[in-house]
Amino acid sequence: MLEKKGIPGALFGVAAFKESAEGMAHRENIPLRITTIPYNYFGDTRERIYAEIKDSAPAMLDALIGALNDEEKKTGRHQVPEPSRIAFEGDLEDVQAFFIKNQWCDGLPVIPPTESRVAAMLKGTSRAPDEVVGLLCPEFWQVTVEKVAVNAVMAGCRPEYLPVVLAAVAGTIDKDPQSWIVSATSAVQMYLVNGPIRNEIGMNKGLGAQGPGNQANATIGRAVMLCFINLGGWWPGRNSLGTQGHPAQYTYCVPENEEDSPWEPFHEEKGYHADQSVLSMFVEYGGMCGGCEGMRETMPKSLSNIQRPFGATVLLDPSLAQIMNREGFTKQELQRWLWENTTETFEEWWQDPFLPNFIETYIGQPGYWPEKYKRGNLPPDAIVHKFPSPESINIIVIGGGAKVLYQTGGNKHRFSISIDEWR
Amino acid sequence: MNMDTNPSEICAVLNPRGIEQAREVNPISPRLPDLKGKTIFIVDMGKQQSDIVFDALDEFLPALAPEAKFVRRQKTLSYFEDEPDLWHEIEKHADAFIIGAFD
Repeated sequence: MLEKKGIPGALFGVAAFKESAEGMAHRENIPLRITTIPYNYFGDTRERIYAEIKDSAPAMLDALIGALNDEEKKTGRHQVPEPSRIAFEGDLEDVQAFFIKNQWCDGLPVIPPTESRVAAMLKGTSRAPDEVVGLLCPEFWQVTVEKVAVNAVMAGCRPEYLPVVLAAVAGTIDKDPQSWIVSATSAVQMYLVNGPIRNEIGMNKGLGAQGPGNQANATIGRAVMLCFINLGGWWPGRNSLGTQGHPAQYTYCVPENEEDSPWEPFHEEKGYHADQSVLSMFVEYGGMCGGCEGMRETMPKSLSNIQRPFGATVLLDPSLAQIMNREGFTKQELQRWLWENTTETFEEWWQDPFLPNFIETYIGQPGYWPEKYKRGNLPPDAIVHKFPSPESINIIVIGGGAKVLYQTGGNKHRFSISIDEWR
Repeated sequence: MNMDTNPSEICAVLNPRGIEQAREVNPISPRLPDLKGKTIFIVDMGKQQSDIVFDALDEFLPALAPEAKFVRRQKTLSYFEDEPDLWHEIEKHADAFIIGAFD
């Protein structure tokens, strides 16, 4: 708005996000000069931040003066030709290679979306193929019913799943047109299905509902993600800065087990009738943000909730690992610090439901908790370490440095093995 | 769905991509010839720890351009929300602005 009123400006931010900022500026038609700070300062010390800003400040002032270049002077109408109806012709392998090379899929094999397969998929809805559903974030490209069907075929959906996929895409467009999955925290969007359609299309609402094994559960969530990639233009680095990513971004669609629940189903809470089939979307932000000081506060609390404390795994983004290293932590020192700061009373330790007859059989064995942890050996209010040893807390660096954060899991290291021997 | 596929059979696949919308292209506004006597608003969008970033800018920008006047402002609403009153203040009083920080 200010630029359009003739007031020159400069937008600045973290370098890793520059491409995303430029894309947004183009899309929103907000002409801007963009300057960057080389790294993500969040969580770092005041001294380091000052040093980085001192180096970056001159470019901010330079952005306000001087002549415009040819690109900056451009006016007119930007029109991208409509994509061709047939994208490619080839055999199965060629199709996979084409989709992967063009970043049109999630890295997994796709079902080739031929005319006949898409026509069969469209039988799953009464809507016309050319009906415009809307503009899908993050790039706000136009979505039609047929385009959703193409992506549903790619994901491996059956035609009867298509209404669920369409509801997810339409719901995002109409009710929540922000692409949470571009978040640097690697947010996950969970899709919950209620009502009769769960059983009509054979979703698994029972044992292992969130895991692999059921075609509907697996492919509906995948189809929605492919829609974000192909119809919303989502892509890591381009407009998504999820620094670590998340496995649930591949697919996350699950039915509620209404039949075994003692309470009203979720959709009834939201004002729908029991016999209506409804999709709800939830956002889960990924990692825990915070620099060294923030980590000291939150990481022990995150680990303290782990049941079966045979071990833990902490996945640090490289930006956080580097900050902590500058603060004086080696990996081993971090393991020891976490072990020393995840303590509880002996009584609390024994409240883990997996202790009797399971965890307690390991007490006194090499690599596990010492003999004194056996029932009754210590007063209830004695303070004990939750985990067997510092080495039982695994520290792993994962991510792209776009956000200073970590994720935790109650994962005990089970084995490491040579891959080279299998070359 | 007919999944029978001879892997070596040539098939034509439909395009899964959405349709990018046409848009008007606006040029950016002309730049200042220099910073002498100019009022520059520096605007904090309110991301985490941006207060330290802007404390640093408070120190370094006047040192780099002592001939300019810098006015610091912080968005009172979240970085998601529009803030017309702030933009009107900048429009009325600023010759230029610096806004950040995206992350």
